[in-house]
Amino acid sequence: MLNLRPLLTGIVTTNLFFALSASAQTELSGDYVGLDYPMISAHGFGEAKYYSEALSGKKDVSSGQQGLHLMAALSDRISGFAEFSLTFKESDVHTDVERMIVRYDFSDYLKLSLGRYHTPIGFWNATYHHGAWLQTTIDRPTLMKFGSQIVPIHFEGILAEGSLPINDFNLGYRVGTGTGIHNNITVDDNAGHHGETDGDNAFTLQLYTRPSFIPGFEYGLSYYTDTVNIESEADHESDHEEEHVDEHAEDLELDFHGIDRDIKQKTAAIHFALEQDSIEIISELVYWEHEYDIGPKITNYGSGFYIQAAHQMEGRLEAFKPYVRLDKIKADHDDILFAKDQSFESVTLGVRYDFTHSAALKVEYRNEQSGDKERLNSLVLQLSIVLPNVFSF
Amino acid sequence: MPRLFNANAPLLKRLIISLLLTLPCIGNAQAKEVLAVIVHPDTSVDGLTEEQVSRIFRAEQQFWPDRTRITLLIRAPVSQGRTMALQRIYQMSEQGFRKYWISKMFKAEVASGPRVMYSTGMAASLVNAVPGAILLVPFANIPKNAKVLKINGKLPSEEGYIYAM
Repeated sequence: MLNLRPLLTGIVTTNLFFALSASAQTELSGDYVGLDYPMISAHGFGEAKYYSEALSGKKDVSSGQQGLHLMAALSDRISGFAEFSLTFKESDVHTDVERMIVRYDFSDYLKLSLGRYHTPIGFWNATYHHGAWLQTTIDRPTLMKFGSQIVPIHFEGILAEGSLPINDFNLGYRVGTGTGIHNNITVDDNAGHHGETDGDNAFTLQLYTRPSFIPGFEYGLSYYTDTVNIESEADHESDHEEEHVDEHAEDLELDFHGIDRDIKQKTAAIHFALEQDSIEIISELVYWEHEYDIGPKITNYGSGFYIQAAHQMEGRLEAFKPYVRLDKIKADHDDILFAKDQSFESVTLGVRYDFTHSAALKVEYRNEQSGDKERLNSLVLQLSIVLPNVFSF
Repeated sequence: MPRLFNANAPLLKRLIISLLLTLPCIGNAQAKEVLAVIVHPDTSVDGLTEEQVSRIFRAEQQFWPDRTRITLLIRAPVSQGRTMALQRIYQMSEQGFRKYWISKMFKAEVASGPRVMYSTGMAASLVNAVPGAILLVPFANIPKNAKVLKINGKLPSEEGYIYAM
């Protein structure tokens, strides 16, 4: 399948380099009036966390994930977006290129881009993602967590998007094809950071509406298909995961390691979000289907949802925003695509305190259960910041 | 004046004086603040609906019908034009407005936020200089030669104009 990664990296890096150079030259010439292209700006996001679990007494302080988001309007039609992250885990630091996008805007109806994206499935994945300050809660819903085995977090390829203002409903679409970046097979190397598996022919479609008559409201439907090759990742799997997959192979009377066998993945999602000053309600429902492409038919189904509600206090308490979230994932214990049981449920209660315009302190109590494991109670604190317009010129 | 409010003064007299003193306040309450939508003189539209204004200022619509890119201009915080725009168009607090644009850029839906104008003079010169520019200004501050748009078919000076507060 077409591997666009080297090409994309080259294009975007080159564009950004020339954009920076051009801008620097313009500034030196003294002709810069504030609306000349290129216009580049950057936002920084940072977080630090304290975690305490009641059952095991485990306590941990981590600096979490730090992100830098670059945006460049290279002309009135062409723009570039890039996002880099730094993740501190024990003594290691991982750097990732989370997004690299170059887009040409033909009109409101059609914007065509090439690059690496947050897969447009549902709401959270493409709205908050690495910006901890942007989201009300400390962490993402489990459906979209780091190294998610359910929703392919990233996607590389070509994306067409646009909006159609029909009867003030502001319909929008995103449709793309390329390579799905899955974190579902090669989970956790020794450093604790997720690996990646490429899907062969990802297709993604999202339709949404943001009606003018309900400010801050979005409702959408998403559909995603991909073909994930397991064999190419077998060497990277942990013993446990290999054993798990081999159980399926034995059932099928197939030698897994000798057969190039793929898994067809279909994911559908529905979401709605209401984000206003005083109230926030976000909910997503994701449904999936996994099936071997050859051999005896084995199909796994599963679904997950979350609903989150928050209320911004008023008067002297306006800096406080209490919230609650319910998460639930129902998955087959032996789903052919997942390396481990993804069943999960949790209740999260928390308060966000915006003590400045750019920093928030969040305190969260969680009661959660993963698969058949014991139910956990934990307390988490997070300090998150945003540095808007780290530089802008 | 204190003598008029003497407790011994007749009730009718005290009422009349009180009404007279409150008249200026009533007058102020009735004086409407009007928000005008002005654009670059070459912009190909003469009027918008309230929904279109909302869509444009929220960057859901980023191009004029002739495919010129829309450049959003907004006054700096605390100015009357910005306060009115946040109340009437965005329906957001200052913090909500800030978060909205950071989020919008984070989602890669726009490459930049509205350009901030620090003075009426700066706003007036840029809206006339930048093709596709659009700005919300108090009626009293409409710059000379600016193209003022009709909203829902009415100009700011007309009765029933939607952005009169």
